[in-house]
Amino acid sequence: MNKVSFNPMVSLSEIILSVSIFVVAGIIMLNCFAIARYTQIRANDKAMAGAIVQSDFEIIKSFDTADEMHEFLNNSYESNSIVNNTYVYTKYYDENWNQNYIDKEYAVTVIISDKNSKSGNLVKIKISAEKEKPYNFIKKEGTEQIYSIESKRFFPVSGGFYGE
Amino acid sequence: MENRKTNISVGMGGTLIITMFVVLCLMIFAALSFTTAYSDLKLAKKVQDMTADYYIIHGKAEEKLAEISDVLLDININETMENLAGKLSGIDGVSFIDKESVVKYEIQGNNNQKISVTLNILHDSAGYYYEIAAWNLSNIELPVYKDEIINIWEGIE
Amino acid sequence: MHKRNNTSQFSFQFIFIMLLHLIIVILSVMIISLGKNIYDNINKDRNINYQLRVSLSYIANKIRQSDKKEGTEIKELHGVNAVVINEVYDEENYQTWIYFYDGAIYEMFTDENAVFELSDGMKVVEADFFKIEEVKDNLYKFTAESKEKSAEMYLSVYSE
Repeated sequence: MNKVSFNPMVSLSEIILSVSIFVVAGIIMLNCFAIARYTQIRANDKAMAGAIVQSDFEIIKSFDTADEMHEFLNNSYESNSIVNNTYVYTKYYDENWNQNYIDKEYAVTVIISDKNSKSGNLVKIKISAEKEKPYNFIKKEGTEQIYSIESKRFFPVSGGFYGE
Repeated sequence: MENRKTNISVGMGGTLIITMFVVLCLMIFAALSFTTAYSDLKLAKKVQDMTADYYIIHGKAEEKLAEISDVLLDININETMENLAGKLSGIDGVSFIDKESVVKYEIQGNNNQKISVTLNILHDSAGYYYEIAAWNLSNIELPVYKDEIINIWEGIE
Repeated sequence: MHKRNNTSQFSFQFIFIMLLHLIIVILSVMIISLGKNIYDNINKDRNINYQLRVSLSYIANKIRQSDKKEGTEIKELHGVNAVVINEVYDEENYQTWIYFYDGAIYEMFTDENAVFELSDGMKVVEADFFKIEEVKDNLYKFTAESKEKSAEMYLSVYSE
């Protein structure tokens, strides 16, 4: 007569081995998933920061005088400071890229410095977006720069018309 | 007659097979997730580089504009066109076209991008001034598509 | 009696080990679905990024390439705002219309003042929503939306 037997000792060691493989592989895979997730978040942040940084520069480009530019920056940025003829404006965003001065997840900074020009104002503009806290699972300390552009804008005296 | 006794063990190796299957699935998902996210990040970085290059060449074009504006400010309304042409052409990279009273210059970037600027030079009773006629972004080198003529059938003679 | 004790011990161990097997199988299924969900989310984010980034970059490059006198304007086409880029080839005037229609950004290259339907254009990129506004003479605002995430970009032109 065929007898079906069940060997509990072999089965138990097999389960223990399986669980230990599970745990080790699970930890490694979950780490990979977390890195992948935060890599995607970094890519998202670059896309959003790019749109904001470019928009602010394009708005500055559309002004006729440096005074209009400073007025816009004073109105739409939360904090500003002047150090050695360099103007620094900062505004903050939350994790969903909505402007928010309480939940400071990201900071967008505009640094304006004047260059000499006889016939108007040639201003050097640097706009950068930074993350205030480092990304999880990605080992970096301090703030991390997400996006940055540097350019110049020339504001001619009287809009290019002289002697008017 | 001998009694045959066959021992069949139940579930031997089944758990290990399930574990291997799960680990394999997780590895595939993890690899796919990471490569997808990393490729998106690389693309975002490329777009950022192109945009940063555009704004750098834009800044250089603005600097040149400031130089031209300085020259126009200094020029007396009574000066001749030749003098004006000479002073404007003296700026590095700038060319003055007499017939149309137009100044043109180009600023090239590192990512196959350039900005071509065209300014109309006008004047009134007070002096000379510029008007931006064009501020175009374009490629430095366009891709070359070679015409390939493939002989398919030469016909029956 | 000894045999009977062995049978009940055997049953208890058998049930316990089968329970463990079952727990392992359930946990395996849960972990695989977790992995699948994470991959799905990453893919969804990538598609959203693609739509937002491509739509805004495309329009930015088109406008920057045609920043010349009377080169760019905003016109209404069958109730939607469109960016119109005016070009001259071989002394003939042509226009490129860029507008949002039926879940995508469309482009139409045609003779100046030609009449056409929104569906005649060529699909450039899909987007849930795309809005074109003129803020002032030399400043335009573009808003792109994809699956409840939106991005806006301002673009200025130097020559109007």
